[in-house]
Amino acid sequence: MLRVSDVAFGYVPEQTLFKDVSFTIESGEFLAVGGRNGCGKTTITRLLVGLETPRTGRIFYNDTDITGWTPAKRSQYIGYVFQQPDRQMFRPTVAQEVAFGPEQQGYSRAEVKEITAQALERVRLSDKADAYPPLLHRGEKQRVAIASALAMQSEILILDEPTSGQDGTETKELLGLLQSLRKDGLAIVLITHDMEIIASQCSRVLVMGNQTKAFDGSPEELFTKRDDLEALGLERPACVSLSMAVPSLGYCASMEEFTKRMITYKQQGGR
Amino acid sequence: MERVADISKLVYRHKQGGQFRWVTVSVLLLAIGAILHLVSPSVAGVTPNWVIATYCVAIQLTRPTYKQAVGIGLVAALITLMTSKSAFPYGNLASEPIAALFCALLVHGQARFAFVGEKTLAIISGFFTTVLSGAIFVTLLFFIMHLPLTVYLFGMWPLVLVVALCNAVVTPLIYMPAHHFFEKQGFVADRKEEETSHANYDLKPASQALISVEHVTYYYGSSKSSAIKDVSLVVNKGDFLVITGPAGCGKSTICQAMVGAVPQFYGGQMQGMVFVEGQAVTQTTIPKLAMHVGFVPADYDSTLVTMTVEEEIAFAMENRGYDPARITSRIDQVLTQVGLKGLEKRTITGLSGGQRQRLAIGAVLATNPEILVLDEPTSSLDPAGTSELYELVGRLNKEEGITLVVVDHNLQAVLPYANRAILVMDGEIVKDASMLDTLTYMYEERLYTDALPSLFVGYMQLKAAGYAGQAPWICVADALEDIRGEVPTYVKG
Repeated sequence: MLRVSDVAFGYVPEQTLFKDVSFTIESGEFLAVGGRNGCGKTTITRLLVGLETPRTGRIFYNDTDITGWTPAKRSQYIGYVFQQPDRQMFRPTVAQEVAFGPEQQGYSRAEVKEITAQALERVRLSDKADAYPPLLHRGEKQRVAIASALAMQSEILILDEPTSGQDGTETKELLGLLQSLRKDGLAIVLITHDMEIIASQCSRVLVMGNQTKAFDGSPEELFTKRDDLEALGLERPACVSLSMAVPSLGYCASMEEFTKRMITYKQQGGR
Repeated sequence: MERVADISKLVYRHKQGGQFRWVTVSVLLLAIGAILHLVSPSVAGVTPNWVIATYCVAIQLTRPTYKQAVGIGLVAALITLMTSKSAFPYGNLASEPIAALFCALLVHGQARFAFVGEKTLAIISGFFTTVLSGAIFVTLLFFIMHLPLTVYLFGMWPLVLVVALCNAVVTPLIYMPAHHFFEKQGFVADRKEEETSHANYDLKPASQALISVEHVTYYYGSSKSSAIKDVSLVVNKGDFLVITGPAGCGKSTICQAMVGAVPQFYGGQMQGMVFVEGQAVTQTTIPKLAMHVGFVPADYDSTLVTMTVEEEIAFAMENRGYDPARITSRIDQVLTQVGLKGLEKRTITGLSGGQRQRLAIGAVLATNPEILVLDEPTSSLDPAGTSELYELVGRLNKEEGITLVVVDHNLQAVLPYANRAILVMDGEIVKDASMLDTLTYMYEERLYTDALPSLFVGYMQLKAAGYAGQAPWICVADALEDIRGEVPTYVKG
């Protein structure tokens, strides 16, 4: 759906942040973007939405070259939730905030109302339609930003470290919402430092490092086959370390899976 | 001195806002006044006196003491002096403070005349303050410049009266939106609210611990429901205490109560009492408490005020009046403590989030508090920053004996360092025990289980099934050791 081809980028002319980066994003994917601080995780997603222009290389959306498109034009396909979602909200109520996109696209007032109501329903924020965005919790603000993307009928949703600093309950709710959106066919791109989330939620991982794309594949391959995890700023999640310590237990993507298999394993006499 | 039999019944009420709020509001309004003064068009030589109008509004909004009112008048005089087109602008130095004092008299006198509403008061104070200020100003001008009496009587006085009439119109026009705005921000105190003083009570803590929180129930501002209910806890010397609980459970409020911000900054009503090193928080001030308890809020960036790293540490000490030689040597010690040595001259904007937070902690440590309170310190840090932070504060606790209170919901990261954990639900303490006991309690009672470290949950489940050792898994290494020991087919390597 979205294809990045041989992209290079740097903020200052003398320095290259990364080069030779190529990858694709397909619908229904849950892609994690990981790596050390300052490796270009956020930057690569800013290139996707057009907030930065690549030095060389092209970006295609369904084979249309969108490299020269403005962020406004790309926002029909790609939604972005910033690390501080406050910074992307500027209207007095949640409903008006979500309505901004469809209004700009020229929908009639009745259509905008319908679209907004549906988007808020999907993120379970209908009861907060008249709330003042700055007074919401961070988790709620994130859902407003997600609703804004849904109202634009985005097919790709990018979230920059949405779970950092959130408590377990909020994280669980957000991940549940993202999984349900993914089932509806959206592609989710999650920039994250949380190894447990990468292992248990994502279908694919893209790791940035050494000034280029350092890894692109399944979490299982990343956490069991790569021996340079530490150099890439990653860490093997506890569940994977533990499952690897028990022969023939197989790869466990989460702690629940590990304990469940471990108990069965033990009951069968350790075989 | 009056003794208090039951401390849980002791009530303290306080208006919201710090003691310097009158400065904030007046300076903001005077700045607006100065801008209006510069841009206001003059019709036939007449223009409203915006500076007088704005300080009238400021005095009516903040109801300062007479001394403070003179201060506001003096600042207004300096502003007018610097922007004046008059031949003898120094007259303002006399006219504005006196007029401001008079305005404060009017405002305080309003209480006796209940029928005078806020808007009417703005009209009256706008008019008469301007007349008085103008009268003093032109009279001084008349004597010093030796002006003809006819100019004074028939030229200047009518002008004073016309300007005063203009001000009688613009003062309420500024007052209404300003009142609306500051009230929304919580800056305008409700005059009907009573403030309590505990100066006459003999308050003694029940425990000799560093911090003793005794039966505290607290209502924010004018809120009808309590943020915390009958909370009692002690913080002992050398503790590393973690306070955890779901969002909005009141854990931050408990933390704010330990530094005196509840109730002295947020206002509202507190029952019970918090003692810091034996001192009741209602009988001291926040700056004095800060000498014992250092506080770093979740939004640590808001505590950083200077340009460079060393200036930030120096600022904290200069405020307390340390001598310069001591400050220079202390900067060195503190930056070593928090691992920022070598970055003295770095600008604060050039630091990473984790470094800025360590700087905020350093600035607090500079004045040697015995207790360090951190509110959600890891909420904006990545995993590497989080483990670095806990390594640092764990070291401060172990090696330097600093007592730590941390509010956090990331329990895995703090697990290896904390000796005690308190679980707060709906404003009440439901468990206060060792870290592992609290975790076990949360797991067994199914309370706030989303926050439990996954390793701990895994251990508990395997243990329940009979397949784990006796020692809980604090880190992955513990778990690996346990599992390897349990799996007979595994060859230890």
